[in-house]
Amino acid sequence: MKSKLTPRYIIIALVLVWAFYAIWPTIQYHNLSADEIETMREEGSLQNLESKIIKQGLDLKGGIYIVLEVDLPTLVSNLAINKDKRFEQALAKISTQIKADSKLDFFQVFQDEINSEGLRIHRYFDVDYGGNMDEIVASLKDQADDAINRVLEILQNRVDQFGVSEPTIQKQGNSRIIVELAGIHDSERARDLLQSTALLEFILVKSPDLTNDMLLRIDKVIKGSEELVGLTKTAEEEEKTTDGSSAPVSEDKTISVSELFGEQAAQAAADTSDTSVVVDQNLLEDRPFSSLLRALGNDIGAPEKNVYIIKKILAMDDVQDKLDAANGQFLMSDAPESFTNIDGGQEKMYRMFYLEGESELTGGVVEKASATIGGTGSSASGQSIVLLDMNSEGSRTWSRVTGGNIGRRVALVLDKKVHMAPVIRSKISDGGTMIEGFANMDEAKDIAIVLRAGALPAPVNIIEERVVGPSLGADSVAKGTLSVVIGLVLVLIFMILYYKLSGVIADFALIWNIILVLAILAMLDATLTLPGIAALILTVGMSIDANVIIFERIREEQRKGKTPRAAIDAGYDRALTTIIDANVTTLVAALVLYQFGTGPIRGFATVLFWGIVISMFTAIFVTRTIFNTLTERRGLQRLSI
Amino acid sequence: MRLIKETDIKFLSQSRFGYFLSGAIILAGLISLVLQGGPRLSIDFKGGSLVAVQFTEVMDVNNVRQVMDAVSIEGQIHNYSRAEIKQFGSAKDISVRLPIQEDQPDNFPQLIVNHLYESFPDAVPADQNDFILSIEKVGPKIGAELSGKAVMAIMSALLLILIYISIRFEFKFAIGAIAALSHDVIITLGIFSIMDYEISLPIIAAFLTIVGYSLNDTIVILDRVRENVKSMKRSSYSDMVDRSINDSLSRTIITSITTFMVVLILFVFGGEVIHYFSFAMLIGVVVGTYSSMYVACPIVVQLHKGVKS
Repeated sequence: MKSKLTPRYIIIALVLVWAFYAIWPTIQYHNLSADEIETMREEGSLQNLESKIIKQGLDLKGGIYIVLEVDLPTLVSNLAINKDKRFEQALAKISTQIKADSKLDFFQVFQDEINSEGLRIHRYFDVDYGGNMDEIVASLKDQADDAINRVLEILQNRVDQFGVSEPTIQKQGNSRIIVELAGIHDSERARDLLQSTALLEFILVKSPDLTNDMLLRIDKVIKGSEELVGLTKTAEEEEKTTDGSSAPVSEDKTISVSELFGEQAAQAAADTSDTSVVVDQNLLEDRPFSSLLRALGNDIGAPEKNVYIIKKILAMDDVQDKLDAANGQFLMSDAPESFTNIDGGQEKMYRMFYLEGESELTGGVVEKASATIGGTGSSASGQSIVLLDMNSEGSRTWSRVTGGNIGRRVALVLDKKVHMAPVIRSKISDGGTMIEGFANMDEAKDIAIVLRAGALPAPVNIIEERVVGPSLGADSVAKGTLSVVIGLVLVLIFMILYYKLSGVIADFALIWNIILVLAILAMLDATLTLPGIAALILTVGMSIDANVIIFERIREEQRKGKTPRAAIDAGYDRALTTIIDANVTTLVAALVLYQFGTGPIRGFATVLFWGIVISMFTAIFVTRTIFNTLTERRGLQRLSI
Repeated sequence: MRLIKETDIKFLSQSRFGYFLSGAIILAGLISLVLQGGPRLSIDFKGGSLVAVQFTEVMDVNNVRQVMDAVSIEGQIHNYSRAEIKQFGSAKDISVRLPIQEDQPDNFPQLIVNHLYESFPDAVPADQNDFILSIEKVGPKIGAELSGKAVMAIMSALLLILIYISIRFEFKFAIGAIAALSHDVIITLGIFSIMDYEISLPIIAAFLTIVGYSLNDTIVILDRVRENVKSMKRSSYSDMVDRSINDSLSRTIITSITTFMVVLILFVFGGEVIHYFSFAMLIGVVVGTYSSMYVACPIVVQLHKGVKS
């Protein structure tokens, strides 16, 4: 008889050995002190250990989960040549359409829109793209695919240099990238690092005369515009009532956005309660645009409060036409500076620059970028700066540009924000350049990283973001563990009280169950999340069910007068199909959840699934073996159940 | 120890009472759902931003509301005092939820966090990263996709289960089981609506777990029915179903107790993040147990009668 059970013992022993082998690294890891972890990291053995432990999800460890989407309309727009107004309008329309309805495919909408607008697509794309719509769209798709892969690569590069242990960066569908950074808590920095297009441009600044000329033209354009009629009226009325005195005094006055732009604009800014801007009243009527600006020495200042409205005005079609005609563009500095105004108050202002329409050089030529502190004696003494080295082609161009424009200013523009606009004093022939204007060393370091990793071929938008702070994660771990322990202890006690010795056997199986689930998690490289812990607790409650079904059946068989041995056999046999049928449905639910969910929900589904699968093994196979051993060896007369 | 001795309860003769009770609860839930224009969806499905922050001292929700009336976003001052602001777990923790804003910058929730951090310089930790409990931002596209996926998940789970039960048992049983679990999910949804709790991704997970649990319970009883059909050929169908419920009653009660116990622990000790999930599960365990006896079985008997006549 003994030999009949031996295979069972062997299987159980093997599983036990395997489980401890799988869990051991996790136990080892959690017993390490911070110092030991550091030493292992230096030795390089930490990664090996970390790959074998049960991973904690972002919701437990803290960290950042970001879904980025490549801006396809902008990408296509970047690829197009000879762009005209109609093409741009069509793209803008497509962009709004796909934003509104997630199911739309960009290229489908693009094709439809081009057709319905009657645009001749081959006008906008190089012959390389093919001659007809299908060919062009097909090669655009290839380009987009290429672009997303490049974005993926660049982001990987950036994250690697940022120094995150075990980042996950993966493609989802054909335009999305999911980034998971466990243990990173500075969400602002991470976001900038990922999202920055890192497009570095060197653009010459136009002369003050041309700048003033352009400001005057914009003033003229918007002065005549209907949108400003409301403004002039209100301003006049106010002048009559409040300023009835003689000579007009140059004085700042607060007016509302709706006064400037009429009702429509006010509606767009629905949530905005204080939409006032600061204008110079004397100038308001004559030069509506210039009145929003300030003089900062040789530069133009844009008060922070006015930035929104300034951008709106610059985006107006008529204004854009004027800028296009003059081949110029207005860009702002990357951060506002504080200035003391006439009455002693502080005012935050951006600098605004009028630049050439095209850049002389872009970041593609950057070969090396490093962050450092400016040396004493230099203009950036003590400041965080980024030093650039250019490749030979870049150095040549840069040397030509600087040589030919001595005395002019050149703006170093990163992602459409002006970091600095120094005057070119001499020809730079070695390609070495310095960028200043960073808030701190971290920012300079991050900029150096993104410049090294290269510019993204298209901008990316963050469409989903989840950040879990370290304290919430730690709190979840503590509370989750506490719940598991209390829940487990209660169930263990209950089972012993209710089923006595048999309850002890079931408890044994239950503890086994939990150990095996953890072993599977470690083995499968699965991630334990907070919902996963919840599933573990549920497993405790639900997996005991298999034993309850069996025990109730055994009790029933005993009541019918069967001997313990016969009752056990009958109980297990009859309960088997019940248990399988009842559990398969929960397994179906778990599988569907796994399929549908992401991150935390997947963690839940994984634990639930394995918890139930394993409960069938432990509750049926393991407990049966124990019962059989008991009845066989001792010739059990009475069953404690 | 035995809680349940051999019983002979006429469950099916109480089924009218069961229909009435279920009907009343479902109706209350439906009325609430209609009045509120559907279930209250979290930002997972609607899109929007949710930030949770931890102050170093007890913080009054109204104080937070006050400072939210002037938030500077890219130089523009916005009034967000009508946002949903509430306590998040402890009295020091506050969560702010905002719908998707027109033209909002990508770092919108971060700007909200920054604003709160700067507004209470005396009540925040020195490192801003310790201030942040969580930030969630879901774009409208993702929200719409997740809603679609959630519906797909529940539908495909139901379909698979229907097929499985039809194969292993009979189609009538499948109808009874599906009716019972739909009943459970609708009641949970209704109670969530009445309590004004929101439906988030974890709640969908809870729904699917309830589906699994409810079925588990129903199938154990139906399995008994399948077995008793052979041994009780002389009794009427409804007597036989009654017998089956009684046979498995002890197991039903014990399993419900253990499961309810652990879910209750989770509800009490699990913390804020998992709170509503465990609440849904608490309802699910109770309703799931009840529905296998008072919804699934009577329907199976009704269908059986229909087939005979």
